[in-house]
This record gives sequence, structure tokens and C-alpha cells, in this order.
Amino acid sequence: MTSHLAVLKRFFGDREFSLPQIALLQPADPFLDTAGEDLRRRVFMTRDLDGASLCLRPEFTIPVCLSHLESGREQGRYAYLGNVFRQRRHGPAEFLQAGMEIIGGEQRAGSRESLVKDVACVVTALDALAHCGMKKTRVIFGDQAIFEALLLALELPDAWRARLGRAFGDSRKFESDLQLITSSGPALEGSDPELRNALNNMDLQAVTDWVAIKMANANMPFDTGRSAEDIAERMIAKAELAATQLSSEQRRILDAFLDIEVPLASAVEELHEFSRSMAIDIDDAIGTFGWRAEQLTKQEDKDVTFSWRASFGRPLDYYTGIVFEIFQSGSPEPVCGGGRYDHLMNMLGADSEIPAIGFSLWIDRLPGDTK
Amino acid sequence: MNLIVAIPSKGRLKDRSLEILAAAGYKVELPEDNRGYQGSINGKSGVEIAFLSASEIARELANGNVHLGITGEDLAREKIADVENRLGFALQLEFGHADVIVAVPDAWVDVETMADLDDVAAGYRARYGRRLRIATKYWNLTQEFFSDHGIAVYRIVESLGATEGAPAAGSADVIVDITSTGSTIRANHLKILKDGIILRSQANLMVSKSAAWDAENTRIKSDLLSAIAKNLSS
Repeated sequence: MTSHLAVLKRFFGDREFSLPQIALLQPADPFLDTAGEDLRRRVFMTRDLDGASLCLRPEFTIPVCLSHLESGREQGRYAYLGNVFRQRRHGPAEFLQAGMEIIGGEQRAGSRESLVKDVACVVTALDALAHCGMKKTRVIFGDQAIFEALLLALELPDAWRARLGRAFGDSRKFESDLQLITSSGPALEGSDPELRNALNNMDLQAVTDWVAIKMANANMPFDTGRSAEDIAERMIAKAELAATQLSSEQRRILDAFLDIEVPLASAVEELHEFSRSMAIDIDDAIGTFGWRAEQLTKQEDKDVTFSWRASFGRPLDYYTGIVFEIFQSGSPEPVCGGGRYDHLMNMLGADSEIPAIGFSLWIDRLPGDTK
Repeated sequence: MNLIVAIPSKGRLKDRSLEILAAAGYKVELPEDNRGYQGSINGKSGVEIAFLSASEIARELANGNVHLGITGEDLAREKIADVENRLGFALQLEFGHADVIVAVPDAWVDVETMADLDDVAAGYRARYGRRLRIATKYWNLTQEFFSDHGIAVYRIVESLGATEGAPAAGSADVIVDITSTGSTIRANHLKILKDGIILRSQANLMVSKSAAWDAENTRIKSDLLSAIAKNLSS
């Protein structure tokens, strides 16, 4: 392991990545706020004397992003190497990771610059793995953007589009959400006649008033969280949706799309064929996807194969575009995971959206030591 | 080594536990000063009673320090990781009924199910600059249940009492709490989500899987379990 670390340290150093100092003990809030409370079960938590929650660093991306924010720089290329700590059923709780993050600069989602950086990120990951002696690899790509484009093209109601977009990459949740949409029942059953009346008339003001009275009766604070109007708006949207159903045709298109898994080199052709046969227009998204796919495919050779799986994504709301995993040929566990996370910096407190992409390597899954 | 049965050290749970044991022919002899934490069974050797707090009982069972114990299923499932492999839920004792539930403000007319809550939670940060907050003392049950519903983006606010008051106090948006009749929930202008019942809990007689089970203890356990089971079903 030590020699993999030494090799990678040199690798990142030679390419002029900066190596920010990341403390082992981190404030827990940024992790829990972004990745969700679910993470709490998988991190080692503790408290300081003032009661603030701390954790052993479970990963590097978030602390690297925070240190970038603190630096005030517009853009940065960062690398990291070190131990991370996660509670796991199997395997040691402490293990090595290394990786890089490219934060800021010209890489707006979907722009040519962002695609160039997408490709550079994958190339750097493969290069780093090759330096660690890993030659034969298999890379699987996924893309949130093309799925979002499909949802748009299907002309689904906003609420459903948001729901399915969120579940992308989590097949169990996706399936249960589809069930829900396919069988949306009456939303107004059992509700107060006055409310039902207001809803039937789609009268936003009347529904808002009704909710505001409920809130006042409960002494609920008006200045934090959901307002009466927010609640009323969603209620009306929901009432509208109660009459709508996902058509079997829409369902068929979604299922067919998510079944696609092809070599990256033929993905564009496959997507054109798909959109033609389903009579939907996702040409813009295919164009973006295709340009990147073409650049990536140039990196393929006899030792490196690329494929695209339409259903592959990460169900965290800060991932926005390309995701990828790299496997040693014949192994089920990825040695590398990466992707574009344009929403994360904003969540961590940046004033505006700062696009970013990166990958991390599971060093203990790399083939034998090179020493 | 004697077989150790842990029962709650106070309140209704203690009284009902003693009643059930007595009815099954296992009358507990309380310590003479009535303040001690150990008892014995009238006429039965080889059995000890340990009076512990309800949540300690779950932990001691899991660690194998007591053989049998009576406590709420909610506590065992909340306090013990990997509970199914560490405890056996041998008998439901038909008392101490309480549901662990997800409740939202009554005014949230648009939220009736966990799927609705998922929608609301997803939009929270963008709209209000923070995650949806859930007040609870059931950290683990909440995380498991929400995770099963594919909801990850929320924050838990630790609640050490009067959880049902958190939404009105503005310290949380929704709650996960225990209720037996739902009246406290309603009195606080909250409502339970249609699919928001995390656990229907009651007092259980639980068996530690890691305690020292010699032949004698195993025999005493079987006798005790069948005596109580017979009594419950009659």
C-alpha cells in the first residue's frame, strides 16, 4: 500500500495538483447536511466540549471543497491521499483513499469546457491507475443530464419529473416512485368540505387562508420553514396531478431507456435509434453526450473498455452530469468512482454555483503492491 | 451460573412484568429493603431477577450479561445494532403498547404519505436554506425507516422530551415519536402519516443470544417461556 501511496503522491505532484491539509477530525455538519442524515450510521461521530458534532473524515471531497471555499480562490486543482473512516459490515473501518477534485473555472454544465474537464478527469483516473500497475480496466459511465432530458421530453408534470430525477440511480426507489405515479389516487378523500371546495376551484388564496388558520391554531411559527402559501401551492399541484396518470407508453419508454447498456462507442447510435423509435426529441442532450463520448472513446484500447449504462447514477442531489466507475477486469468492486457535482459547492455555502468534478480511488482494492 | 431475568425497575412496566411472572407461577420476591436491584423467585432456585432501567435491559441482553429480559420492542430496536442476531423476541406480552410514528403539522394538508414528505424534504434546502428537521429520540429507527423510503436529505434534531412540541416551538418541522392513543399527537395539532407507522411496539420477553446458555439455564428458560405463553393465551 505504501508504495501505491508514494506513486500517487508523485503522480499528483508531477501534475501540479495542490495537496491541501485535511484534518482527520472534521465538523460533522457539512457531511450530514449534504449527504444526508443517513450518513450518520456510517461515520464515526464524537462531540467536543461545547457539544459540537465532529466525525473522523469519511471522505475527502467535502473537506477539499470547504478548503477551496475558504481559500477564496476562483478555481483550483486538488489532490488528496490518506485514511478515511467508515462503519462497515465487512472490511476494516479505516482504509486508504486518494483522488482529485477540479473546482471552479469555466466548466458550466453542458458547456464544451465542462465536457473537456469530464474527459480529463477520466483520463487522469485511468492514468493514475496505470501508474499503480493496473492496466486492464473496464469503465462504466452514467449520465444524469441525458436522463433529465428524457424526463423533459416525456412532458411529465414538474412534480413527477423532480421525483424521478431524484430517484435516478436508486433502482428500488425509482420503482416505488413509478408505482406511486402509475397509481395516483384521489388526493381529496376525507378532507374538510371547505378545503375541498377551495381545491375544486383551484383557489390558491382560499387554500392558503385555510392552511394559515390551521397554522395559527397550532401556534406554528410563520417565519421558519413552510409557509401557508407554499403548502397551498403544493396542495393545488397535487390536486391537479390526482387526475393524471403516467401512461403505459411513458412507462414503456422509461423502462426501455433504463435497460440500455452498450459499449460507449455505440451509445450515440443507440440513443438516436431509441429516440427515433420512441418518437421523442432528446437530440440536444445526445449532441452533448455524443461529443464527450467521442473524446472518451479515443482513449479506449485493447486494455481499456468503456460502456454506458443508462440507469447508472448517484441518487444524491449534488451530482449533475457524468458519473463513472472503474473496475479491474473481472472484479465486481470498483477501484475508482467519480463524477460531476455542480451543486455541491453551493450546498456547502458558496454564494453561486461553482461547478466541480473529481474522482477517488480505493487504494486497498488496487492489485498487489508495486514495491 | 444462575439464569438472570431483567425486568424494568419502576412504573407500570415493572408492575405488569411482576404480574405476568406471578401469574405464570414465578412470584418475584422483592429485596427486603425494597430498594435493592436484585430479587429471586419464590420456590425456584437457579433464577435471579435484576431490576434495570428499560433501555439498560436491551443493552444488557445484547451484551449477554442477562439471559432474559422484559422491555419495549422499540427500545431494543432503537438501541441495539444488528438486533435480530443478538436478541430473540420470544414472547409479545400484550402490554406496554405504543407505536413509533412519523407525524407532521396538521396544517400540512398536502402531506399525507412518506412519498409526500420525500417531495417536501427534497425541496427544503433550495427553498428555506436548510434541510428538513426531524425531532426525535429514535435516531436509529428514524434513519432506517427514512432510508427504506429513499429519503436521505433531512437532519435529526435530538429531542430529550416533549418531542411533540417541537414543530410549534420552531425547533423542528416534523417528529418521530411514540404514541399509544394518538391523543398527544392530535392535541399538538399534528397528524400521523398514512404510511408513517415505523413500529408497533409492545413489551416483549426477549432472549439474549450471547448469554451463557448451559443445559440448566436452557431448561429453566424453556419452562419459564412455556409457563408465560400458556398463561397469555388462556
